[in-house]
Amino acid sequence: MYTVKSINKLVKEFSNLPGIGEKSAQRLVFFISRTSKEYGKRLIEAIREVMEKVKYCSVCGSVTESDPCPICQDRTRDKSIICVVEEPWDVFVFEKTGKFRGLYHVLGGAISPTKGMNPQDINIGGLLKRVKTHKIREVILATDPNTDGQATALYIAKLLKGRGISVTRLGMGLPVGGDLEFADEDTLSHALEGRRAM
Amino acid sequence: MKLYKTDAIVLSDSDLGDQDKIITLLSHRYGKIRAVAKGARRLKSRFAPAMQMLSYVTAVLYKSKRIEVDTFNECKINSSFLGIRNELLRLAYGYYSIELIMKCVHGAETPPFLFDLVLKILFLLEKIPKESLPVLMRSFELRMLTILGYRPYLAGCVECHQKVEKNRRVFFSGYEGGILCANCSKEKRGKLVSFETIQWMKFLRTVSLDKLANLKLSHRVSEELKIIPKSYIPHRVGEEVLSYTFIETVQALETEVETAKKTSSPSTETRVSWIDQE
Repeated sequence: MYTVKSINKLVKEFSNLPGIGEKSAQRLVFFISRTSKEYGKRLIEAIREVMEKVKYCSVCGSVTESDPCPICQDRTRDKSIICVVEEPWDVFVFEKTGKFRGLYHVLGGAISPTKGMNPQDINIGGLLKRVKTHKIREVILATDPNTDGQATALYIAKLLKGRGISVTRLGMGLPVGGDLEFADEDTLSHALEGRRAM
Repeated sequence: MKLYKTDAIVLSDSDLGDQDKIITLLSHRYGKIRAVAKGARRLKSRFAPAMQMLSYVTAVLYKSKRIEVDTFNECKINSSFLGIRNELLRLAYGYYSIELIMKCVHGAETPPFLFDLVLKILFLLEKIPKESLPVLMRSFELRMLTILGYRPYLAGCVECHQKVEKNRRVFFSGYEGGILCANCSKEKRGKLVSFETIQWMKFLRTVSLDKLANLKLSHRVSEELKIIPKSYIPHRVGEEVLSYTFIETVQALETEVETAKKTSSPSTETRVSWIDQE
C-alpha cells in the first residue's frame, strides 16, 4: 500500500484534536500540503506561540500571556465583584459585551457527579480563598444554564452563605429573536421571575 | 425510516459537533434509546430546553434502519422537575437516580413499569420532606434491582440457605448478593447488620411509595442500609455509582451550614473540610 510518511504523521496528530476524525484530519493535511509555504510557516509560528506564551492566571484561572492576567491587574476594574464562569473562553464572551467591569473566576469545569466531577475537582477552593482574603461585595454565578451548571451554582451559593456577600445568578429567560410559543416552562418561569419595569 | 412517539426521561447528553447533541433516554415503551437532537447546542434551539438531564418529555423520533442512533423530530416537555433542580440535595439525589438507571438498564428490554417507577420517584423527589430522601432512594434501589433481576437474597443465608432468626447475628455481603449466617460469613466476610435492617429491606421493596414520607427509620438502620449503594449495587453493576459521593458531600455541607447557623452568629463562615485542609 502506498503511503506518505510525513502526511500520515500529521493526520495522526490532527485526529487527536477534539471533534476531528481521521477523514477530517486527512482533508486538513491535504489542504495544508497544497497551500503556500508562507501559510504553513504562519500556522507553525501561531501554534508555537500559543504553546510557549499562553498560561493560566494564578489569580482567576483564565488563559493569559502574563501572570496575573491583564484583567486581574487592571486598576480601573471593580475588585469587589467576581463573575464565576466555567471555562476560560466564557471570559472572552463576557468581555465582548463590554458591560462587565468586575473580575472573573474560572472554575475549569462544572460539577458533574455522573461523570465523576465533584466539587473537589474544580477550582472552588481558589474562589473561597479570594473571597476570604479580599473585600468581595458580590459574586455572580455565570455557570452554564444546564443541570451541571445549576448544580455548580447551587453548591457555591450554599458555600458562600453567611459570609455577608451578595450571591447572584445570571438572569435566565427568553432569547432575543426567540418565539414565545416555543418557550418551555422552565425558561418562561425564569423570564417571569426576572421581569423588569419599563 | 419509521416515525414513533414515546414518553421518556432524559438521562444524559453529550455534544456532537458544534451544533448537535446525542441524548440518552429512558423511554416508556422502548427501553433505553440514544437519539441525535439536531441543533440542540444552539441557544435558540427548540430542542435545547427539553434536552436537560432529568426532563420528562414526550418525543417523536425517527428510527433509522442503518444506525442504532435515532433522530429527534419533535420534543415536548411534560415536566422539568424544577423542585429537584432548585435544591442542591434533591438535585444530588436526582443525579444519583439517573446514574443508577444509566448503569443498571441496558438496551430495549426494559419493562414499562420500570419507567413508571422512575417517573414516580422523580415526582416524589421534588416534594418529599428532605429527611425522607434517603429512605425514598433505598426503596427505589430495592425496587429497581427487583425489576431488573438483581434483587438481594433475603430469605436466608446465600450459602447454606439457613433461615435468619431474630436473635442470631446476621451479615450482609454485596459480593455474595445477600444475607450470610454467622458460620458462612467467616469465610465470605459479610458486614454485620441488624435483623431489623433486613426486615426494612424486605419492607421497602413493597411498601407504597406514597407512605414513605411517614416512615421513621432509626439511625442505625439508616446507616446499615447504606450497604446497598456502597457495596451491593457496585458488585451487581460491576462499577461504582460515582454520584453517591456527591450526595455525601452535599449532606456534609448542609450539616456544616446548619451547625454554623445554630452555634454562632449569622456571619460565621461554613468550614468545608476539603477546602480548609488545603
